[in-house]
Amino acid sequence: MAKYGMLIDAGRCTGCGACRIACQMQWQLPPEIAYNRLEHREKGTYPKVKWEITPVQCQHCDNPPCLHVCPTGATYKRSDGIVLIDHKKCIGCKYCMVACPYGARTLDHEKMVPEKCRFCADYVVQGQQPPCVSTCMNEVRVFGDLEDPNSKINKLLATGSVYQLLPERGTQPRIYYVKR
Amino acid sequence: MDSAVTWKRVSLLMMLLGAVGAGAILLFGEDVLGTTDGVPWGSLIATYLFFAAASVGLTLMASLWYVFGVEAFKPLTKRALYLAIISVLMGFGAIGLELGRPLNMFWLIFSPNFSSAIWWMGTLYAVYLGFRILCVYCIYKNDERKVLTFSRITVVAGLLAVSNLGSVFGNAQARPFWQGAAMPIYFIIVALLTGAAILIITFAMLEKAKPLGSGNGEALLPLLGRLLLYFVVAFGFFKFWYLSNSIYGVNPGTYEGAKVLLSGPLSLQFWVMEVGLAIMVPLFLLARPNSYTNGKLLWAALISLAGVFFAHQNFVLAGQLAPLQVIPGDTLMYQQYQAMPAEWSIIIGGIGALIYFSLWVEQKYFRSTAAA
Ligand code: SF4
Repeated sequence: MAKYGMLIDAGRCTGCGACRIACQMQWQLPPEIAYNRLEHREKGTYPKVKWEITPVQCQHCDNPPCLHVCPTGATYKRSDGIVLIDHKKCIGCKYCMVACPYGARTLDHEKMVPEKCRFCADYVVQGQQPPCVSTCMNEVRVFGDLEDPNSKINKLLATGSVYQLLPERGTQPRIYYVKR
Repeated sequence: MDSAVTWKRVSLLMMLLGAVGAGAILLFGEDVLGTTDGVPWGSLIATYLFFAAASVGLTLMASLWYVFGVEAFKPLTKRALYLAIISVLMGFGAIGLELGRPLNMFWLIFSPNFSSAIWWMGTLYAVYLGFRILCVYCIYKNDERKVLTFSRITVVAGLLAVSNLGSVFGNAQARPFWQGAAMPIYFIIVALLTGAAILIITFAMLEKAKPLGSGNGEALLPLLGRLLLYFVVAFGFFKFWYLSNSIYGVNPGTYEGAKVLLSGPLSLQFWVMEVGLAIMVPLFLLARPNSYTNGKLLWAALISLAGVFFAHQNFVLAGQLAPLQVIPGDTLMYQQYQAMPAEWSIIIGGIGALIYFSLWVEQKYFRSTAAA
């Protein structure tokens, strides 16, 4: 069984926002809703300053707090590691939004469901890449099977130095970031 | 009963306002609320906390006689029981409006997640309300033995429900300002404070309505005043140590949450509405038990209730206005939240409904039995 994950080389990101738009197209989202975001920050002091951009989205945690707090089990984790939401069970309590340390959830005001990145679950099982991955001109994201030793993501993880966001929270995210 | 008629009219107007707000929320959903992705829980959650904690507080006050046998509190028990039921129903109303998809709640039964504090909250409050209603039914049937049994069960269920309410927040490890074992204790203190204040208002009003009133307020009110004083002191004590430790410890998230209250975007609301109304003014009015008058007690209770509402709002917001630090080293800006008219109208409507139904029960049940 595949275990999906992602590697993000944020140092390559130009901040063009194509990943956000591609995701919105894929899921037919209104302009104000996005399942991924770019965090901008200024680093250093004048004259040595840098503008750093970090793409952030649902980390598909192996120990997802959003799943533990969901009262009806509407948030669930598939055996391939992807964390999804069963709309018909969601009561709209927004506890998952409060519990997610990454601020990865966004409320769909029409459906009243706290939505998030789905790792394009139905597409990746058919061997396709999520559009945030395939659309990026600088190959910032690499998506793949963490269980497969020959996958591109595993090879990159083995060679590079990586980190995860907020590892101290114990969420065990499935998204890795290349150290800058 | 001129004042009762006036209060009924005022409370009906308040309910009407609440109904308009509820209609707006049902029609336009989240768009008429001040909540955002960064601050998903707002004033409706605070309203729910207020009523849900008040209900258990009233139950605990009633238990002073039913469970602990303190004779002095016997006259307040029945009124405390019906007020507890009305209050928890108002709380359910507020959270029902806050839920985006309340019709899916049947999944709480068919697909329960036992690791969720909200699942336990719903279950414990449902059990609590069920036994509370059974209690009232047995009182109506004059079955004292069952009243005692169900009262004991209700007190346990109520204590579990309100402390679990604290753990809904205490469990949220992404929000360090809320997180921790102190929250369940805090909610019990607030529940007691709210319950005592509501009973003081009820009995002070009954005293005013004499000779029709049969509230035994003369003996009860000073006692309740002392209790309220103790609960206000406990509340202030908790706040002082919680916030000073949060500031002193400089733990990420906890520190920022405390700063939101002490010097951040909620500082005015914290110092004036919470410290001022929930702690300082009631302390000033209640500090000398020998000087208690019904008017003084009534004001102390009313003001502390208003303060407690803002305390709930501050508590809910402080945990969220302090932003999540996702990227190490980020310079963070406070999240924004502004309660919208629809939210205020629900708060006003909820209080109106509490007044209206209390008067209704008073006239329908207590007056008719007193007359008989
Ligand atoms: S990142 Fe947030 S929404 Fe995604 S699985 Fe983890 S806790 Fe849930």
